[in-house]
Amino acid sequence: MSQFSTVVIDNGTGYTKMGYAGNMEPSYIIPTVLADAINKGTTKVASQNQKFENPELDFFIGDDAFAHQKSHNLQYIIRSGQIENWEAMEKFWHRAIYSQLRCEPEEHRFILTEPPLNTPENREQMAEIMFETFNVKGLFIGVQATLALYAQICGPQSDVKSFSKGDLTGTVIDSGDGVTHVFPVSDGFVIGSCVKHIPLAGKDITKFILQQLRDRGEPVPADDAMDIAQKVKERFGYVCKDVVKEYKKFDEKTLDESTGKIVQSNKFKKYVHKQTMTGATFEIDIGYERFLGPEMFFHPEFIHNDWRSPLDEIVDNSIQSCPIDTRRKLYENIVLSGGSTLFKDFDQRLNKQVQQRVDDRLKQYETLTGQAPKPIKVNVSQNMVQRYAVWFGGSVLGSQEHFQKVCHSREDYMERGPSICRHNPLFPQGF
Amino acid sequence: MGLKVYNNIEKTRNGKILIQLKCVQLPSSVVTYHSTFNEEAKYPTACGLAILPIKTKTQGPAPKAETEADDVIDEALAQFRANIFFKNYEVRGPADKVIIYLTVYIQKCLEVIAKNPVEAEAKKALMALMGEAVPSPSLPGFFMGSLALKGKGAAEEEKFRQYCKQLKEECGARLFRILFNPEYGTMDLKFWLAFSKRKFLKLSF
Repeated sequence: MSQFSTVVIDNGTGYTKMGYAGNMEPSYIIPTVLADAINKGTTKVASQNQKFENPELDFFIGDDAFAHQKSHNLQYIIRSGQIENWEAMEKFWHRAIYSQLRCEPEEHRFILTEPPLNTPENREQMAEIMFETFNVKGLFIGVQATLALYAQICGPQSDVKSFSKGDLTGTVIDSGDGVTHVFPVSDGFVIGSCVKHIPLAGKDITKFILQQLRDRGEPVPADDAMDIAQKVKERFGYVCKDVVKEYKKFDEKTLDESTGKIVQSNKFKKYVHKQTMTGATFEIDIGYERFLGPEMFFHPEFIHNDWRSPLDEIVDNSIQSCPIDTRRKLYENIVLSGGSTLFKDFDQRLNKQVQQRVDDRLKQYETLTGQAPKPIKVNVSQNMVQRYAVWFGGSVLGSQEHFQKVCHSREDYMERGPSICRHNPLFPQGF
Repeated sequence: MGLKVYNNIEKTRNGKILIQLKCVQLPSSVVTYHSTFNEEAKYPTACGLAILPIKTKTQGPAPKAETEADDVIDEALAQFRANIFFKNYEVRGPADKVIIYLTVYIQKCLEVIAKNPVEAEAKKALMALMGEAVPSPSLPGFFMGSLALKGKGAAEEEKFRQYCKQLKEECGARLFRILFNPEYGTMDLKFWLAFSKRKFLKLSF
């Protein structure tokens, strides 16, 4: 039994989560960006700030990339979950493994993640890079939605001692920075034809909050604008039960006993910001955008010009298009993953709205056929590792005993080639 | 999106009837806000707008409301900050048309106040807006377009105009009290003025 633990790397559109299996959280969370040297391959003009002798190594990843974006080409390597530029991805992995994780890939097994509906050729490409360039000891490529479900079942909050393939059934709602997906998973396999995408995600909420602050005339400096809006969203955002009732709560005034004056509702907040360039601090009032931003999941037309369907409708339609015998289990196990699902009371609101739709439909069935089907209890679960549920699933998988049997080894790759990585079963034969 | 049901009714060999439900399509689950006065058909209408009782001291065709419950102007004010974001508005009855009128008016008031948010100036500007004559609904160019029906005669149009004037006066007064409150000042002012740039359904006076 090797004493070196498995490395888990989850490459997402916005952020990459890296760490060792067996841990509760990833050790490094960095943006998935690469800042490459502008003049590659052409004769390099001698510059006084030449730090690197080898221009091939003149690139930065993650937060360093943003810091160097004026002198280098910034590129987002992953779009909508798919790797666009393999050369850039290889450089990214190189820097990540050697500079950030500081591990020898030859001694570790690696778990990488891929979006559902990824082509087998992409998996082969990943395997080629990992085994040929980095010479890893073993590789497993997991589907993101399935790993999120795996985290739900085997995570620290669950008390399931033994489980079967059948437990890996549920609907995963993955909402990150760029796009939101609804993946129904049955017996560990994503039902490809029922996957739904919603073009709304964290970035849209941030832009909306910034627009609201600007409309109100708050003193938001131009260069830190998106940063401020993001912090406001993460710290003060929440999902309300009803928009008009929430406005009424904001309108309530209370009498302050000590001063005898009437004060505003304590739902209004203040945010103090320190500008990075000048160091000046100033205060911003936070008001209705606290709940209006996250409300976009249920009222998309507030933010988006074309998209009208709310999230609960998409989830409902997705499950209804799945095979009929899986639907009950899909409703009863809705798992949230990704940063944009972290808003307070998001699960309760979604639960209420989906349950409403399910109850309406069952009532219709009853009036039309005269038979009452057994009521379905929708269950939307939040768990404490939601922000990186996929990474956590990989971590749990990597520390299981049977992982060694399902992971593809270097020897196997040398003998049979990259096509072995086309299939990555979560459980070995006869589990 | 209405309720759609697709059915396949078959008769089997021994006479039992089998109903195979193909699909049930549910209406949209987006929560929208409408007036509670829509259901009651007891209110008279003028050019499509319901003449609803309001709590006011102004003169006009609207009857005085008996109870202290929310009247249609309270509803419009409460729903304004939600309705302004919607791109479509389903009219469920003549009371909803009043809500639309009031919402566009409130937005216009905010626009006018935003130009000069000092209390005295704002009061002057609001009075000017209230005094503006209500155009006839049958003329082209009236902002409500096809929603406002042509009056059955000059009397109905006159009633419509007076009712609108009454609504404007009462709504303007209540809005002014929210923004420039005698007890707690202009706490809410800037939060309401943020909505002055948005147009409700792209409609404008």
